[in-house]
Amino acid sequence: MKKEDFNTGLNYIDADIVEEYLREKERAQRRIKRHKTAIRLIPLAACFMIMILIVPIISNFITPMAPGIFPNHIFDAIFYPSEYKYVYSFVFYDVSYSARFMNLEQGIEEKYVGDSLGEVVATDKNGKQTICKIYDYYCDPQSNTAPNRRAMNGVYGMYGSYSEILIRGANYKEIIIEIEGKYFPATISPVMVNEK
Amino acid sequence: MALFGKSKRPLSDGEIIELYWQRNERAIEETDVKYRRYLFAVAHNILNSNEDCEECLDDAYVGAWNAIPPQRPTYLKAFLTTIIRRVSINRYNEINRQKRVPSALTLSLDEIGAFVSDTSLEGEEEAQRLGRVISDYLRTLTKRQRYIFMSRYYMAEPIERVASELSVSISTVNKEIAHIKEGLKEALRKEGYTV
Repeated sequence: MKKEDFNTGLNYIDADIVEEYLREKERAQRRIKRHKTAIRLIPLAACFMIMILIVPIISNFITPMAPGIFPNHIFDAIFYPSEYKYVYSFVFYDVSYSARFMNLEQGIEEKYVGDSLGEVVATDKNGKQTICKIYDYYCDPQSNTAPNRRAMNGVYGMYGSYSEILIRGANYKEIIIEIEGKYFPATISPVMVNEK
Repeated sequence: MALFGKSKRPLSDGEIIELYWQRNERAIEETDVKYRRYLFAVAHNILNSNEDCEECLDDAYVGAWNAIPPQRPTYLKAFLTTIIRRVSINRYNEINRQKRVPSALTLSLDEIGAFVSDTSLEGEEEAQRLGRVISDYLRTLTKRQRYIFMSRYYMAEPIERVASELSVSISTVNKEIAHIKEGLKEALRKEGYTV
């Protein structure tokens, strides 16, 4: 029997053997295709995992926490507009935000600096300045009557604790407070205060 | 009246076979749409020439047209595979008489050089008998061994692809091939073939 005869003989293999083989081949090729798709997704999954791990670490470097200050304190405050020298408000998207201000009797005067930055400068009677910046995606000045709020003891260290409340509908992702070159992250609690 | 609308997707095997039975020439078109790439690959493993493969493809379609009816295959892909293989092997034998064909089939046939002789078989009847002997032998093998045999010798696929499809190493495939060849040699000898 020559090789060619063997080859020709293969042409007459039973049809069910050929069928079984071709069906098995289709299954094998589908398996390989699924495996290749999974392999292609591995780099994507790896990138996603790295992002999940790295982003919080990088955020921490951008907003380092100073010792002795609450890392994520909630700001709340009640103030009385009529007692204070300045009343400012910002609109962040559809949220109105009133700048905080201190009681003059405490020897602190606030001065609003710049619409878009939301920067507040507080000067005490010794001339020491504290700059407080509010960072957000966008702000637009708009006159607004602030609700009654009372400034509590703040978090400015030497000036005592301080807290700030945001008006209803607050939709911030974060607020960062800068105090003498140090940045402090804060969480936002959308609480409505109406108390004198 | 057209039984089927204008095809925007490959028809099912049943629909294509029905076109053959209606002697609708769209049967060939739809066969080409669905199976051309696959059939071409089968022929290419044997002939390694695009021109020869195209000719064999046309002959295979004619073969299918002539065979259906009266046949009504249950698995069209397998039916077409046997036709394209037969046509391609005939072409291969023609060319091989003049020069060695540098194809995957030649390589796989070289592997069985150890148990073939110079004696030729006579006629189609002998070829059919040999086919039955090989089929009986294949039924004694495991499913994996049968798959390896069919891939390597029927479809003339490279060993690397066979290994990949089975998720085994190349050396495993080679070991299985060695075992299969030994068994086949014995089976052929028992049936009176000169090996």
